Amino acid sequence: MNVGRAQSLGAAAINSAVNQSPEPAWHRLTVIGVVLTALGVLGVILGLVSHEDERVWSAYLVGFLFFLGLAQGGVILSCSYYLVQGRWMRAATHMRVAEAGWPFLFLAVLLFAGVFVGRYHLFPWIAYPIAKNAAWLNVPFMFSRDIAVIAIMALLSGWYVRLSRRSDAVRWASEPTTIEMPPAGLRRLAPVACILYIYVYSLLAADLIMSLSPLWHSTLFGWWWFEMCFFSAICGSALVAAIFASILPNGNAFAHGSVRHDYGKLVFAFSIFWIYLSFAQYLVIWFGDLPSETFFLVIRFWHQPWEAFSWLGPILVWVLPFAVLMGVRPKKSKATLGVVSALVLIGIWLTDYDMVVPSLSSTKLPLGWVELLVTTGFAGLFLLCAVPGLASAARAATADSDFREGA
Amino acid sequence: MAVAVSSDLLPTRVDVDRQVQRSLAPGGLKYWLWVMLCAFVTALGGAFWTNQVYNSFDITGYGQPTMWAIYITNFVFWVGIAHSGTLISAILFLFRVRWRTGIFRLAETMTVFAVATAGLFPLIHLGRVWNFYWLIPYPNERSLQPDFRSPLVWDLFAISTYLTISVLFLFTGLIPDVANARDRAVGWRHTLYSILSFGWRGTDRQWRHFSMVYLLLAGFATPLVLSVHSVVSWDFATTQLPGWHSTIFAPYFVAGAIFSGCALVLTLAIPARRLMKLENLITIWHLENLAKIVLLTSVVMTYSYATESFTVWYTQDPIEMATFSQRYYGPEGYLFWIMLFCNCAVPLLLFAPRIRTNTLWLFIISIFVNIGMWLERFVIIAGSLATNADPSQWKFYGPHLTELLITVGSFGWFLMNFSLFAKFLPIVSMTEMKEGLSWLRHAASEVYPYRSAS
Repeated sequence: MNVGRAQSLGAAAINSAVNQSPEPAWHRLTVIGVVLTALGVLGVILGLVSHEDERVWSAYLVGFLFFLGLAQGGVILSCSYYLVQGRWMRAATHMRVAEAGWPFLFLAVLLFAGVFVGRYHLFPWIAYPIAKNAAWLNVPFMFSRDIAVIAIMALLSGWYVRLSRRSDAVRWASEPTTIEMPPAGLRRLAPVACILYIYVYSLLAADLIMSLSPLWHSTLFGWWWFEMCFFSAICGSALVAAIFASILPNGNAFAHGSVRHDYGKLVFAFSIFWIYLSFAQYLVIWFGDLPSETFFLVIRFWHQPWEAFSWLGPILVWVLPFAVLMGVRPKKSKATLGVVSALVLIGIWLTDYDMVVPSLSSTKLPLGWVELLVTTGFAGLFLLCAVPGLASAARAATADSDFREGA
Repeated sequence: MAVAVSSDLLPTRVDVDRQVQRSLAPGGLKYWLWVMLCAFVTALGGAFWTNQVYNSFDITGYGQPTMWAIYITNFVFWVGIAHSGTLISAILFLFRVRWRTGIFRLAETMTVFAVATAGLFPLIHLGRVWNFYWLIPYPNERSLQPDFRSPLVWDLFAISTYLTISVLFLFTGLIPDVANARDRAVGWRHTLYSILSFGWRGTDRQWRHFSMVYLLLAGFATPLVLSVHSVVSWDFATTQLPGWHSTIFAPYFVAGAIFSGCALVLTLAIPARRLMKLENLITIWHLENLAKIVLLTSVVMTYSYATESFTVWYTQDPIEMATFSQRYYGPEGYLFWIMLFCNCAVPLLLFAPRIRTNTLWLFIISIFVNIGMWLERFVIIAGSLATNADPSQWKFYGPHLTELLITVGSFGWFLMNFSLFAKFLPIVSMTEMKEGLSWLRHAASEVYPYRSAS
């Protein structure tokens, strides 16, 4: 329908009502976030009161790692958009969505205190120090270095997001037909952020996951984990794109099929990269057959109760997106892309859980109300942090005049 | 968006054809002297290989425990070189990267000849080269099969597949360009180009089929970039040898392959564009973007070295620590530090735009990278074997003249084949350059600040 054509008042009103769905009520999301957070706090308190300390703190660590990775991965995803100078991306549909969770990084500096409080239930080398690793694995050094790097990354991310939202950066992202380089500030800061990210998140993987089994090591583990965090950000962005395409007013930038197609390709490609890195670790450990390495996998993939559970991660993170998103139509479908992205995110959480909890509880599979409530609390906090960014992305997408046509 | 363009920097469609066709003109004295020099070096390498086959490995520096050394180093080096060609031609094609057009043909050519060179070294390394066919699963009266669980057997299939796809990809993409050259050629060149163009007439139907086949081949080639060098890395990582047994090897080797390959593309492209007068087709814009990939992969390599070192220290395993201590501070430790300088320190210069857009600096840096990456393979392979888990077996390897001249001969072989290809077949894709002229217009405009750099 051509809205420029003269219409009767009645017809115009009807068309307006039919063609424009209401703006999302962002304040409702905030309320939901508050409720979820409250449930999380309740879960922690009830868990501690019920003497389920180990379950509380292991769920806390898993939630912390998952949402920290999601938030930081999003900022790095936005950095990589500028670094590769891809002309298929736009500020509203890509950068703003990826950056939406950045306030959580500052909250994570505070939330890290919870890992410190629960340290005796998490890190076996505290109660049973390992002499040869004492220089690296000791409480003062480990916690001070980790909180320092999380804080540095949070500050850097905040600075980066501020630059990314300036008008020159938005203008650059909206002009796909030139080879003009991004603004100088972003060109300098984005590589620094990405390089620091790979080192910092490898350090966090070694300290907060690998050290839970202090006798085990894998040189690829840090790379594998920070790639999974990056992948979780891609899936989160794809999920948001699928949802926004459905709920935002007609003519928004997310309605364009090419946006979902691009996200679908990213989800597909990075799921393959994830399984490649997973297989690279598995093959070397299996072939070498060194007991100091194999025990980590044997607990998870060959012994109950973890055997069946551990396969959920690879199935959701790789098998599902690889099988479903191979064609063009599934990638462009809002429902398919949204559901697959959501399931991959669940799979990544399960994988984080599978990396952490079996190291602490090899003969029991603790998955119940404690884990659900604690994770819900983290989800609520993340939602509270992300709502302003998502609202900004939605407004920008609605106002993006070059992406009017839906597909 | 309208852009102001420096007209002397901007080629037209006719210019593209003319300049590339000009590069196919018969070579002068200097060109043939260069080819003969390469042929002589190749022949020298071949002569020493023949001598090695006749006199056995006694004339080399090989000995327990270092039974893999310079030949396997060369094998891994050349296979690695090949990967960036497929990255640039196939992966960047799928990503619709604009700057690929000026250099992808050169990179693909490099890939084919690099894989062909790499394939020689398992044979050279065999000693009893006439037994090479034992790796192939052929029917025999004792029902013997190769060990399919061995990465060495995977290598055979991975590399032969890679060579096949690379050749198909290169010659498929050449068809429209060779047809273009055929229409202007006379004599034996006309005959050669007629054969290689497979009757191409440029009809709509042919273009449609060409586009589909090219897309499919790019799709086939893409996973090979990851898989082939990962399989090569697993030749080492699946053992229990300290210094080899490391989960990071697969992506580390792939990143290293792209690193060395892109550097060699720079090494070849910079003189080629000058000698063949293709500066406004292979522009600073193309070279700068390639330099960024070199910089990115250098960062990945630095991360990999740091992670390996950290993990060894973290585990405090005495055997691993002894191996790495020898690697850093042993009799051949200087090779490790040279490698670190070439791979990690020198590429940091590429953070500076003025260096990234200066062809002399790019050429020098690319040479350093190639030296560094060759040394990296040598340090990992020969260095780790020399200092294995049993110190009573330790013995450092030193190459003899035979290995050195065969190595040099492989470079001669590669450069000879590359030079012949570049003179007889179009080294820049006329088809894709003409399709992407609008982007070349931007590279020549005020939008690109380094357009006048050289």
